[in-house]
Amino acid sequence: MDEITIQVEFSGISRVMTGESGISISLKEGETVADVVRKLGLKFPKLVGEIIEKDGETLIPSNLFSVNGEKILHETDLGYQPKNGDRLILLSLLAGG
Amino acid sequence: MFGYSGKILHIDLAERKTWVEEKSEEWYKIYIGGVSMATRLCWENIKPGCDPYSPDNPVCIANGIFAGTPVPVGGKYGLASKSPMTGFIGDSLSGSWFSIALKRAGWDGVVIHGASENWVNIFIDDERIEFRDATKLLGLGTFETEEAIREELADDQVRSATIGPAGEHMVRFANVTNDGRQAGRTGHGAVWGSKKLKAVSVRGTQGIKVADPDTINKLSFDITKEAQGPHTSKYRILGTTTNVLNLNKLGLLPTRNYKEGVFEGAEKVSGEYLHDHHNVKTIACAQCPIACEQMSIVKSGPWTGTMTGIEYECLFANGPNLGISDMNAVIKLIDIADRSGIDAITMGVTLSWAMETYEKGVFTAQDFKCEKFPEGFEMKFGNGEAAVTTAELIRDREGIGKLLSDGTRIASGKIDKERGTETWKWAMQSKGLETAGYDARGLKTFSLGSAVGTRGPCHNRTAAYDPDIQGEVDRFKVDEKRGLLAKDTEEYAAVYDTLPLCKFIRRCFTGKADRAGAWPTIAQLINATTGWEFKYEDIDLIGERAHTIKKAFNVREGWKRVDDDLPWRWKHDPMTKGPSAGYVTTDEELEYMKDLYYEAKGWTKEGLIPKKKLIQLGMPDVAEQIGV
Amino acid sequence: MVASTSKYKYIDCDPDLCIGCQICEYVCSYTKNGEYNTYRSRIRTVRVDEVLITAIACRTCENAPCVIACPQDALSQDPETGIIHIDARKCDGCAWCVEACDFGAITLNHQTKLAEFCDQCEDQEEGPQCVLWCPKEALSLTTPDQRAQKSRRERVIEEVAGPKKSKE
Repeated sequence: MDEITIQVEFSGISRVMTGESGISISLKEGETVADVVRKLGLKFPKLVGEIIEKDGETLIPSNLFSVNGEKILHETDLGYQPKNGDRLILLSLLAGG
Repeated sequence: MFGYSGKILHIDLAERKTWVEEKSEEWYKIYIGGVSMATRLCWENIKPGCDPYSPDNPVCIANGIFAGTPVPVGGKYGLASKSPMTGFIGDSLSGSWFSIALKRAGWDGVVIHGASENWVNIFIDDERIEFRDATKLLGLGTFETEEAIREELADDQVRSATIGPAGEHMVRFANVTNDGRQAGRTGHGAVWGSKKLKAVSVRGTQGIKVADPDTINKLSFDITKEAQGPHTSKYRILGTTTNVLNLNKLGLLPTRNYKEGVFEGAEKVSGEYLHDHHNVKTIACAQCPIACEQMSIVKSGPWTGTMTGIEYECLFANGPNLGISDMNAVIKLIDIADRSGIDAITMGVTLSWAMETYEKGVFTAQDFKCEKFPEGFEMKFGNGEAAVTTAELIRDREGIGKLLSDGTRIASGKIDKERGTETWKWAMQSKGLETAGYDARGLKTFSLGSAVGTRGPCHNRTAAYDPDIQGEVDRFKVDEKRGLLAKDTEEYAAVYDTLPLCKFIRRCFTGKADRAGAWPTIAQLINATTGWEFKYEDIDLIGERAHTIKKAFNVREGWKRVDDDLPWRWKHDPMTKGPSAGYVTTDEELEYMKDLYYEAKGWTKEGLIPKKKLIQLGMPDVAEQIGV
Repeated sequence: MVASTSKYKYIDCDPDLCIGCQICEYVCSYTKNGEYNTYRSRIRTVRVDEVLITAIACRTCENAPCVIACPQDALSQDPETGIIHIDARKCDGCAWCVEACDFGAITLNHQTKLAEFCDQCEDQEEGPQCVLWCPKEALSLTTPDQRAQKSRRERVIEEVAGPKKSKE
């Protein structure tokens, strides 16, 4: 089975919680963003309850991924299959300032 | 009546007299408070077509329905006048104590007419109104003025809304400040300055009662606790400056006068950096259990000791937008804006226009001659010292500050006429108000929302960046849904701006921020406060009515469809770097979206409001004056 | 200046956590007077220079100066709890107790002409309402000994494990 590598980028709360700016994640062919969420929750339990729902499967609303900064995945759209080298940017969106 | 005293205070600055107007419960049910009521008061009391600096332009304050109760984030008030920047409605909000003091003084609203012969500080002491001489307060900064008044009256509970030196000098984009918060954007400070109104102070000693205190207490308690959880983490821990990296990664961070959307120095002016290196304490407005205001301090360099609250919008305008990656300079610039009483967004976007105008060779160093630099200086992108000096010149209306203090529309107009140039092409404004911290070229729905905004391209009022940035729609394309989306987002925002409630609480009712998630609790809160029986649809109406009265005001002041436009750069000059590069919103796309939007609103093709609609919304007098 | 004994509890506010929202004041005034009015709150927030923020309520001093100062003997201190009580028939609103209190924890109700101060909501089943409501858990009903223990514990953790990062 082919393995691909993607970069998950952290900023805002996710960066504060994980202490990282980003990590590499390996995915098997066919794995989706939902699998990425699951892996993140296991690797960084602090994200669960803050960015990831308690069930570890979905994102808490207002958190979402952008693929390479161009495409934005709606919080319900976790079925996207990343390609090798994709940057999945985790964003905590907020209004105002 | 619960929730309201039923009384609007009228003050005439010229005659030095006051009178009370009683409003019916029906009137309150339609206009509620905040921006809606403030605009309505302006509609009722202005002489249509007047000059915003004339005595005929009233200052209208409208309180909040929840002010002074434990309802979280309900301590806010609305302020409206005809804006000297746009010539249309200038409606602003501010938070914290002032609204609470005014509520306890027993006033739902205040209308200030005319102009004073001498500088005055109005003191509203419960029902007693005093006109105090403000000569001693002249030249004092916003916070200093508040402190001076409090000391003079020897009472901590006296709260004041003030203008700083910028307002005194009638810098067109001067603001009104109270309790460390600002009623910004549209030039209230200049209007107050034209009336020689230095400050409005309030002391309210009466208690506030609500119709159903048990429900208010229960709901407030639950929301207060919910506001400590994940739905507000980003506000509490980093504040709104989280948006610097969010937007940079999407290629939407306005950089160097919106030339690009990616800033190479973004990490050094990010919320994360600010928090790690400059944070002193995170504080709250009165009545707010979230606490999002990041008080930040400069620890080294020429501006050591400067401390102020930093928000995303102030930061982008005076950081990446100026090509500045030195956080110390950004804090200093925001501090100048805060203390002088200047709108930080317009200040930043005006400075960036000046920088581009310099770099393109239209301005030379000579244009920046001043006392501190008799030979002038290089107003280049990234030059923090130059930006700081120019900001001070704007505050004092000296040197180049004389030109810049009128904002980019007037400044570019003057320069182009004088020098035969086209600096208007990079004046980032629409309707005379400068743009905010999101680049519309990468956000099509937001392009529409910015163009049709009643007070100008205000991100806050339209909120149409939401569907774009949340991946609900393709942010780079235009389709037939955009009109309805822009209507939905602006009317949603208008509900919060009218009650008012700070929008940061929106997820703390049920976890979902959409209408279905928020309206039921909001209805409960309104009903428990007033004893009314508002339902879901009534909350929808609050937003639609608020936006409609603002639109009606504009129509009466001469608004035309052609005024709903975008800055030239957003229509013709695509970014070259980053994920949003290559896009513009063409005139064709814009006109198409405007058609969709007017249709969704139930207006005519010219964007005017049918009589029937206005009557339906409970505004028959408005229908008669401007309905079609 | 006298201090609390180690046995009396009082409402304490941690200035590192207090954000100055004043929700404690609304809730206190409602509990005691049935209306939301910070003038009628027994606990008062104070903000100086924007970032120095805390709240103050009666510190249950030993040999309470307010009790000693009252010319009408209207005030008494419960020997078990240290809570101050007022005899409304005797109080004439002279405000000597307000002078005597070093903490500014006593105010005068200009309508009833009676002195007002924190009684730790001893008549409420859930205890002090302000402590219950404080969104940042900055308030606590504590004795000086307990307060000192808390500080020592936090200090040790900081020394050994490194400084606390922000507000996680």
